[in-house]
Amino acid sequence: MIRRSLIVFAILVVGYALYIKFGKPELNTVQHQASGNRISAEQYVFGPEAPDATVIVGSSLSFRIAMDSLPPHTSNLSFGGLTVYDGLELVRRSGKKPKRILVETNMIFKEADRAFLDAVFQPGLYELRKAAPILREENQPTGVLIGYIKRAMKQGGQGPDVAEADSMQMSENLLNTNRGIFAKVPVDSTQERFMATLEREVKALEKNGTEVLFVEVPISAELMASPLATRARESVMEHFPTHTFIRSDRTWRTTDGLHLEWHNAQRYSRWLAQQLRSTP
Amino acid sequence: MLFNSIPFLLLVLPTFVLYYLPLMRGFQLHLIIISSFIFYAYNDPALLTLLLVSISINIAASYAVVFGPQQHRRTYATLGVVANLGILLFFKYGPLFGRSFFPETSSIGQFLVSIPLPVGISFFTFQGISLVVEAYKGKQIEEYDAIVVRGIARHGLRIAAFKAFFPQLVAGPVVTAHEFLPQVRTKYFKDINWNSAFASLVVGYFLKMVIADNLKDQTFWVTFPYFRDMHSITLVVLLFGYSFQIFSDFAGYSLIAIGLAKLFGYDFPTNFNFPYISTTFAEFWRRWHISLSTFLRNFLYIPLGGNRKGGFHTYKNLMLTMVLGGLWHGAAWSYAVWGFFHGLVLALERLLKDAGWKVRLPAAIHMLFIFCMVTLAWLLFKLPEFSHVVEYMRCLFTNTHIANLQPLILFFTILFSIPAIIYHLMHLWTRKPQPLLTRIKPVLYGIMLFLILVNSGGGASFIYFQF
Repeated sequence: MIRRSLIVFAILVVGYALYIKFGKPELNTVQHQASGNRISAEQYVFGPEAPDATVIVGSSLSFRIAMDSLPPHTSNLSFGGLTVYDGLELVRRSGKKPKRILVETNMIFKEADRAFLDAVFQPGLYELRKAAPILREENQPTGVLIGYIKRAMKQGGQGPDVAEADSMQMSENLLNTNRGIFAKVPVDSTQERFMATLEREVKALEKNGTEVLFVEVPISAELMASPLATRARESVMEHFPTHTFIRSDRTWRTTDGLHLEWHNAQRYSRWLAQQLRSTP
Repeated sequence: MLFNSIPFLLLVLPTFVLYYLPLMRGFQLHLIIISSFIFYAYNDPALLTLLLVSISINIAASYAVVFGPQQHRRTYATLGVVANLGILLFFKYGPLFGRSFFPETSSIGQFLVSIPLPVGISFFTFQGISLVVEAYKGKQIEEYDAIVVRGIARHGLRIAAFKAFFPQLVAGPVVTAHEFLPQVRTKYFKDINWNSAFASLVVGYFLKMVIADNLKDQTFWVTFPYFRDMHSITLVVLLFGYSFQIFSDFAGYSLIAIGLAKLFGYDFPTNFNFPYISTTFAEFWRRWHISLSTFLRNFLYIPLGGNRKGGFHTYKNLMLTMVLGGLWHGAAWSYAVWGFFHGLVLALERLLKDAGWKVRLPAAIHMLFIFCMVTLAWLLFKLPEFSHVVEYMRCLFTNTHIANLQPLILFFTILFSIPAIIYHLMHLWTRKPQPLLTRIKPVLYGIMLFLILVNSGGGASFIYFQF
């Protein structure tokens, strides 16, 4: 039984590897938030590096930025449920040297997720995934299956696809939760610890010749004026006074006070692209 | 260290090779103990001290019970059980006690709340209790002579291997002394039951890595406050998804443990016997976490009096056993409520049976009813904050107005639940011999291996590690 099982296994592995190499079309294979994070991370880490690469690091706020609005060779390492520090560490551990990095400033007082980074760089598995694309998250059979379904359902690029629709409904409950979160500012020592980490990461990037810009992704006007958002903004301006800090004064519509509603995310992405083009 | 991690593979492979070397035949127990200590200490070496203390207590107590002065046997056994329970109470229930009975500002309360929960403590403590009690019971226990052997060093070695044996150390099955110790002898490579070990490992890893870990990424939404924005249908599907997740996670772990033990020449008892086909609550507990149910029956329910005094006492003993069994799962009152629920339905079922009342409906209806009730109760596991459970129940009925059904969450929750459903249905199908299944088994194992390789969910520790 074992021998025959292993033969079936080998046939499936070879067949699927051939399909991934030669037959798989461009698909959105994201299955859930964590899988989306992992796919973005692996695509960046295992993908080629362009000399004029731009990288966005941030949280789920920047995750909604529409990449097709931004300049070519831009990667988005903004992860739902994670932080700017995860993206920064990912860039550092990947050994890549992007030309420019946009650092989202909204969630700078939140810890990195060690489990996420350890999963991406797990010794042994990291090397295997690098060598064998069938082991990567984006090539999971269930992801490919949903990719085909999404492609069939998407109508000429109008509106968000099924994956995005799941998290794009207006939520009064989440708005209330976010009000509570943004009303509290961490104690000074915690703030300093986070800012020291950010300074260290920025210095390391700049040492490698990377230009670092900061960007505050718009949230609701109410939360923009909240104690946490105000403190985060002030901290960035205090610690990085000479750096470019991209901020929008316009009012944007969100789904929960924090995340941009789909059409507003598209508009904001175009606005951000314009800002980047005008930044020397 | 997780069974599904590279460090575990790097530990188990050399251990396996060395274990069967002819030169090492006299040191197989030593090797098991060393590997098990590395396995346990990998994430937090300090915790090894507690395991060593627990092992020492049980070596001493069980040896004293058998070879100490006969007039003090009962005292040694009592001390052994009390010491085991003391360790469990201090580390597992200290924080709950601190939170429940001391103000936040009290230094005793703060100390109790800060006590860490050592992984696997609930399992290795129960094993210790089984050892001391079975040593005390003497000839009533089958193969009693193998439980405590003469010579403290020899006995100590066997008990250390029994308590620390890595396949069952951190999340069971709760293998009792009389199940493990009679199997201690020199093991030979040629005696390995490869087909059985292979089947256990493949199904176990499939249930854990493909089903449970993928469902985990969907049932994440059964978290406050996110579930409040979910449609009622989505909440129902997620609840059933969690039911299949917890089954796949723990049954998967148990199968991996059973498969690993087989590789080292030990047979562990079955821990999950297709629990979701149960037609009564009593049957469910004969099929779910069987080693724990058996332990609770033998070491709690029967000593409490079991059903010997009949009527009210039986119901009371059932309730008490299940409430304590619930608290064994976790130091939070919601686990006690979960245990109370199961105790209550078991007592009711027993009451109806005693009254000669029988519901005559097709078995499938019974199965569905039991499955739905058990699933509903899992909410107390997923949401340890009781107010959140109440809120979830409210949303189940009131969130019908929400426009978005979250199709992606629905799709994947259903997709990854299907194999767990098929797993149970296949058991029903194979009650009669099915030659077709024998022919397609290699294909099924091949597919499962393939999916373990290419479709595993985000790595996560086993749900039962927290217990």
